[in-house]
Amino acid sequence: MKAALRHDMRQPEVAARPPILSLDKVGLSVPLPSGRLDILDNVSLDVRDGEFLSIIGGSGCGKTTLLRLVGGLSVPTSGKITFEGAAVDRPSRKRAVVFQDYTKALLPWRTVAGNVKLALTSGRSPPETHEATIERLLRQVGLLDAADRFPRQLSGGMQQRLQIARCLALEPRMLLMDEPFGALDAITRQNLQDEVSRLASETGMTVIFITHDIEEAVYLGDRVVAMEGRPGRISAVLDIDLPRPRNQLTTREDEKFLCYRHELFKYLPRAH
Amino acid sequence: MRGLVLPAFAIAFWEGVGQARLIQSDMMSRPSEIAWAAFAALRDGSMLLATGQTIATALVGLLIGSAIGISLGAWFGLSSLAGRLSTIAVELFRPIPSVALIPIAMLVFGFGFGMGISIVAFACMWPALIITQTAVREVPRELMEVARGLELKWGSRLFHIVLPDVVPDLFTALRLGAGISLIVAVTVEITANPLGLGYALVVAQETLHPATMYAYLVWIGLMGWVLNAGLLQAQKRWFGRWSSAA
Repeated sequence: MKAALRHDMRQPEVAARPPILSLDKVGLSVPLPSGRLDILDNVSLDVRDGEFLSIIGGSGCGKTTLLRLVGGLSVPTSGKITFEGAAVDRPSRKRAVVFQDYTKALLPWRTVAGNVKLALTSGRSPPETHEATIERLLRQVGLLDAADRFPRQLSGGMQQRLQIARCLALEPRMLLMDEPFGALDAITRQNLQDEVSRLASETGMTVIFITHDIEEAVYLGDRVVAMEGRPGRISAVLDIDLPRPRNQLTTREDEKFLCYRHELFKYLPRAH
Repeated sequence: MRGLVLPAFAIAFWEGVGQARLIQSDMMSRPSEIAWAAFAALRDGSMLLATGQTIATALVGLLIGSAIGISLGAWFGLSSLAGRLSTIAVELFRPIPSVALIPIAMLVFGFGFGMGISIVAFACMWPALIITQTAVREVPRELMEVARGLELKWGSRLFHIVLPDVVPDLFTALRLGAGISLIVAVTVEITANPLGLGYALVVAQETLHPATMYAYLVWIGLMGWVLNAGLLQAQKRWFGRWSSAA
């Protein structure tokens, strides 16, 4: 019955391209004194090149774990993750992770420009291009005026923008975002949603975006994956057929948007 | 300023008691005598020479000990294998009172700076080691994961992520060590080494110059206070707003 949700509305040639990332029966369990605890169970998923994939689920359903596995920060205990044809077993500059807690992910002793610079100096690009690249990236995320400030002198939204800029400096094939806007206020959140949407289509990056907000998932995604918890597995995959660029007013008022929201609501846990 | 009222009153009282000849003692001196003795010792250069010797011992010992402690601490903190293997050795050697090493140091180095420096270094090494090891272990997991995500090499991780994150803790270790270094340096001089302020203190006592003895005592206290206050100020100034967590 869940398979009925899959109605691929994309152009055939897009769907026919090989997936950039594929998860094959991926599972993760951790040892406990009383046996083993399954965090993820039998997760299979293909991610298409260039798509914006949202993942929603209640807290503790393993969505962050799934993202960490894709990022190479953890290793699955069963199954296989393949990225561009090679097995994923460690982090890579091709798969940049935007952490949920930006306060811990930025280097507090480096300026805004310095944080971006670290991502460049550890790469292969020639040093004489770094200054121009930093300027371009900071302009892209609207932080050019704050280049010489330190992370603690920035608002939460600006810190998260900085983290995104640092990830973009890696020129990744894939951006992995773990509830990146969860701690931000509603207005900042909407602005950043539109910015990430724009950046994704400008760069052609594949994005995996984790959120617990159904509307955010639908608003941003080409597809939405719903997960259920304990152990974590995929309960539904829904294609989102809404025109781009999306608009905070008209898209959210679109009848189809409301249908998707309605549909996905079933898969989120409710208080009893 | 109010904090000075009580000491000033106590000194005046002491001076009054001495002037009135209420207590007769060979080991008591009036504050005025002490001040005069201090002035004399400063003028003939003996106090400054002794101060230089003590500070040299404390400082060199502190630097050597901290360098060893910080290096070992960073190593034990970064490598869980080294950390596990070192635990027992550290717990075995750390409780040895540093002054218990005086006989050994005397045999190895003889009298002189080497003996004092080696004992000070031993004493200062432990707080540096423990504080560094703990700080390195507590570098936020996110930062280490960012480093992995950027594919930073081992050295790059150490110099761009770990060390900057622990610098405020290293300074705390240094401040703690500075206090210890002065105590240990003076102790070694009092008990064994014919050098520095501790030795001058003993000489004054043994030659029945109580005023000079007290003058050295006050001087040592003053040095300790200046050292600690100076380092505290430096720490506030340089690292007050360093870390994101603070």
